[in-house]
Amino acid sequence: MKTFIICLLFLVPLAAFGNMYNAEVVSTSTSVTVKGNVLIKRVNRVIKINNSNGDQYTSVNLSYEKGETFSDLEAHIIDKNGRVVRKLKKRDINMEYGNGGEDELFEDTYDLSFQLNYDEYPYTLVYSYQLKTENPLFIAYWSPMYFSDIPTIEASLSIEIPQGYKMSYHAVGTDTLIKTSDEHSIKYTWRAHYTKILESETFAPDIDQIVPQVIAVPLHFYYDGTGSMKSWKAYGNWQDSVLRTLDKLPDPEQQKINSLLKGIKGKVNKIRVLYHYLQDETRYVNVVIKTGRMIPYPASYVAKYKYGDCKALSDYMVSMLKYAGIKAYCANIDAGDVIQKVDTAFPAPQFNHEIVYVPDSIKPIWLDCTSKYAFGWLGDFDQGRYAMVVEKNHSRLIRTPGLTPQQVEDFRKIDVSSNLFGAAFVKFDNTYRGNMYELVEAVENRSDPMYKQRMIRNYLVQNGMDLVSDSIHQINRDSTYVQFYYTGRSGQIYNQYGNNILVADIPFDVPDVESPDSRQLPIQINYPVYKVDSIRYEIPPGYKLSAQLKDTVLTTAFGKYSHRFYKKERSVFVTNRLLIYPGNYPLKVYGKFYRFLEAADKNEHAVVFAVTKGTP
Amino acid sequence: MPSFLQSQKELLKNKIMKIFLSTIIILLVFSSVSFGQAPDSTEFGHITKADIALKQYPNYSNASAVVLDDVGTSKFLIDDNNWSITIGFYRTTRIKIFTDAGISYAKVTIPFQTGYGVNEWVSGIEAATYNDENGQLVKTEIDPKYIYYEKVGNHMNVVRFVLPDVRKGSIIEYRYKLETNALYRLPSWHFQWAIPVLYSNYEVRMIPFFQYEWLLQGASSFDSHQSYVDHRLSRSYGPTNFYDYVHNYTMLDIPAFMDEDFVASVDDYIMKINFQLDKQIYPSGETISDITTWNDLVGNVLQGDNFGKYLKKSMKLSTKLMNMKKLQREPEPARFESVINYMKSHFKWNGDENWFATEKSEQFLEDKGGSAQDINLFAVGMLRAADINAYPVLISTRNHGTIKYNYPYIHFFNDVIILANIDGKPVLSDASSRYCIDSRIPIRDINDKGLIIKKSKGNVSWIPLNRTPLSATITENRVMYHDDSLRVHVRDIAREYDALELRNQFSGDPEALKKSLESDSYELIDSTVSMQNQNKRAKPFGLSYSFCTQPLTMGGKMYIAPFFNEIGNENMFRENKRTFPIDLIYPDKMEYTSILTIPSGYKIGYLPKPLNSNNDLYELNYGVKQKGNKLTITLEYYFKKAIYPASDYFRLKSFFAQVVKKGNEKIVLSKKAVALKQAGNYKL
Repeated sequence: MKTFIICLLFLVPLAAFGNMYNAEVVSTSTSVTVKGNVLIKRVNRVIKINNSNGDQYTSVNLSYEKGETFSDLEAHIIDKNGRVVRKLKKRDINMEYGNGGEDELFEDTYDLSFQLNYDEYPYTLVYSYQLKTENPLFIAYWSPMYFSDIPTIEASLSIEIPQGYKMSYHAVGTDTLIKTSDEHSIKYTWRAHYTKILESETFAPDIDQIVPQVIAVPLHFYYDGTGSMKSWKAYGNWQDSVLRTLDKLPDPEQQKINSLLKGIKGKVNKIRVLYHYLQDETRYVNVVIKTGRMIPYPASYVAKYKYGDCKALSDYMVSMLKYAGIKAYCANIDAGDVIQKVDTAFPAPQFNHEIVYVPDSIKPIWLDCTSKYAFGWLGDFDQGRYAMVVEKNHSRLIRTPGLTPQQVEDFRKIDVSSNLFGAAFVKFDNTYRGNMYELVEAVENRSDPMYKQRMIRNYLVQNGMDLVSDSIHQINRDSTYVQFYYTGRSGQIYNQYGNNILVADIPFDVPDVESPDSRQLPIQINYPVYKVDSIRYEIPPGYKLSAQLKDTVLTTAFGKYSHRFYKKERSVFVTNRLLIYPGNYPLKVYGKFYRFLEAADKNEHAVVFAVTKGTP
Repeated sequence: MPSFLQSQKELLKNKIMKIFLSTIIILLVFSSVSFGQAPDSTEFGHITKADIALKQYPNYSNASAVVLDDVGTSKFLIDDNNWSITIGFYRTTRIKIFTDAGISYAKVTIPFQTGYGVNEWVSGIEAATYNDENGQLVKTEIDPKYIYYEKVGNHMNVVRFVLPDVRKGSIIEYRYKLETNALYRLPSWHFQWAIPVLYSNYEVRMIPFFQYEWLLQGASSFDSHQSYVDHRLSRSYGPTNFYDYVHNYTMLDIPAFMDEDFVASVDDYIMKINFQLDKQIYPSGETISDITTWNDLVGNVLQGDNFGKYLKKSMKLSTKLMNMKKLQREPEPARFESVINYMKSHFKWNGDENWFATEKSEQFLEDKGGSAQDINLFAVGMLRAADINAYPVLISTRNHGTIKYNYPYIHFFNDVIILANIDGKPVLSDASSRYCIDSRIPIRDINDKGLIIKKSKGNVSWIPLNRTPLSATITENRVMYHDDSLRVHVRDIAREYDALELRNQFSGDPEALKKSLESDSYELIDSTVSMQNQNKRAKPFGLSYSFCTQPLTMGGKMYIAPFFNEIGNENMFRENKRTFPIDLIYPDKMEYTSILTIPSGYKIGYLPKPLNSNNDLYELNYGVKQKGNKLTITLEYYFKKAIYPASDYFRLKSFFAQVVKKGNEKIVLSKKAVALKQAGNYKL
């Protein structure tokens, strides 16, 4: 009977999608019950597999932390006739422990995985499990989107809390909340679906920000001490109380700071010296044990072992600054190249990274203590978004400064000469800022020679260029630009057709964006894009200019592009410039944005001038 | 001296493997240096002033770090009760860090196995960092509580730790013991790292009960090699007293291993020594030969529960899956096709590779899938049930390295494929590769030769895996000029491995195909995109689509690149020096044809010059023909070999530069009557 009911449940929505997708999440339900300090989460999921390309969605990966209780795992396969044809057995389960992945040395987490397949389509995977957590920081972090590339037809989240228990939540995109209660408890139920498949797009918010979502947190919690999420101030006070127990520097470290700062004048110079010390002597290593996801190793640990995660390194830096008499604070931030929207009215752990904020009435300083880049450089990882500064009784959200066009400008001075055989010899003198600065600086300073050569050859050199020689220069460690010189040969710039030679432009990369027909997401440009090429082409001996690409200036609300051309003696000079402003725009104007970039790209890939045999 | 030791000596004399790989060239270049000496002491914790003072490695000044010494010992451990013998592998490594990139060597990962009958454990980890602080040597030891044991699968574990207080100029040092019951697998030793190694020493302390063969790769000889009986300590096992027989191998000043493009497996080239259990000699004098010949190896494999018995069971179970009596009435090719097709459509490869079956055949049926060898061994059983002469073939996949045929080592293999005799012809197949033609093996399997597992009184049989047929892609463009734009209809027909790669890439998903065809340089007409024969593996894979693009017009002339972006503008051979052979996997031919209808009012202004270049390595043909208002431009290029020696690299590079150049040349069409100069976007 149980099987029959399940079958009915998933047969109903099938009519909506049929076999349009390789697989679909027919239903997923999450029910959360809070009892005292214990949270019990029960998940039931039904996934229909329509063809062999859908088999991949039967791979189930579940994680839980040491200290949590995982139980009641059941899974089975139902064939197209509604019969249970396979059940999960112990030997099907693969268990891993401690494997934190690329960025972590160790994580105190169990990773359980299994895959149940069948060979006749369609078939359905049904599984359920329960997870018990004590003193949770989150009650739910939920979305109906289980896989981004297949639909979820029905999804529900229910949270049952005792009467008197305080919870706050952030819910977007769901159906109307259903709230019921009795004398003992209150139950919240959200329903949602994910039936319009979204894909990551260029200059767009993350799809996590677009799909329905519910985040629920306890208003009062215990996590290595009691805390509250009633306000940013309250939440910050909890962090501050934890950090205060961790900021003691050992005596030798204090002496080291004294010696480093001896004779150094001025606040900024002192901060710089200590930041360089941090960069030179510590490194990023992430170990997550027990409360390590939220609470750092103490400053004394970093002082001794010289490594830590973002929280530990930030706390260590703040401790050093405090010891030096400089006010500084740890700041929570949601880092990444795409800016995530922080719900300012929802005090909660909405962050994934920690940096340091040094207040100053003229120019505050932000320091990412996992970074090896220039002093004060935030880059696209941290720029232009809210950070929660942790200060006793004054924790608050402050925006980090956004990158300016001058900070991201990629300037290339290119000199092109021809030889008798039609090949071009090209010298590049590139000054990179922004992302390219980060990439080239890391290639130069933190890459093994083999990797460095491969990166230069395969990624940094202009397409179609046969590399002859290269070198990278950085004026000093706090320079926010890096210079990359190289020379190369190309047989594709001077193209001879009878008596004519067409000279191709050496294009910079105009960002590649989706066509308006397929675009689904609004425009979100997180930071400016600014590229400038100044190119000198030699007119081959014995030829004269016969045609040239017209000067172009495109000015739009999104940015501007220009191409300018002039001839002087035996040379042609071309300047191409592209600036895209940061900003957010609705989907309806995407067509204009696309056409702007398309026009710029077309111009960049045009023949820039033609010469014909003869004397000028 | 026991006879075992004598045979060991003979072994050492006779079995030096001389693999003259090109890495030796590097070795010779780097070998005559002042660093070519053994260190004063390799004792743990012995840090010299010279080590501290070392600022860079003179032979390779760019090195991010250098291994000062890497010392390993394997010895047999006999427990107090004389009950069990295990191997203890002890390693001490000392590294000097020069740059920030070198700091990555301070993160140490030691894998060990538990499962499939192997029990391993890592213990005794000690690690410390040494820094020069104002002339004082400061040592920071790792706290054992920061050494982490992780489980990375049901049968694999790793120990991870990071050395503390590491910075530029630090010396890091660590040692550990790995104990294993896998006596058949005496730990191998890599002399070469991705950074230079000044001193690498491996000592193997043999006992009279096990005899191993050894194989050196990447060098013709050791810088030092000693074999002697260690009379200092007498040991006993049962009634037998013995001394350890020591083999000590040293290499000095080993250059960093530099990876290159188009290499199947770096494991084929890196400098290392491997061992294989040859014989077990019991205290009673009884001798069990583990592997002495390939014939013995085949025999052992066939007797294994997870191979020979699995095969027999599979054959029995097959009758439950297919009507064998009915099937046996079909001709052999049809029977073969039915069985392989059944396996491919009902069982899914889980991505694992091994030379033995990992599940029981009943479990395999229940799971509807398993490792490649589970699938292929079962398929051999099923083919036999269908009355087809079929055998499993042990292979080493491309990423697993090549087999050294003078050495019958089981560890050379990591997978199983199918050999079937169809109408008197040998046919190779791999039922784990869903889109591969039934009578072909997928690219991952194409790696030299495979060992046919069948009983034989004479020599064992090997079958070449790289006799791949010519793969080819034919691209035909039909180009029409209409309303100031070019409309191009493209039809691609791919055969053999070119087809397999496309089938694997798109998995029959039209959206994935559309996405791959999207380009900035043209406008794809979505409704025209289609693919043919995705699941008809034996047939060529086809795809077709149309797009519109603007021709370049300048001075009343129209410039058309007849192959648009199909050839690309990148030379795939980008390296400026080459050491290893270039492995292109299979010979490949690309044919492009563009049929251009000359628009009315235009005539030909310029045609690219024809080019024919043909030699033993490659072929390039470019031609243009005109018939009426149709212009046919063809470009063919052909890599004639699957693998080229390193010495051919620059010829290939130059050849492909020509391909790119010709592939991007333009046809020029001029207006017949120049009434008005057309400028478009150009100033004239």
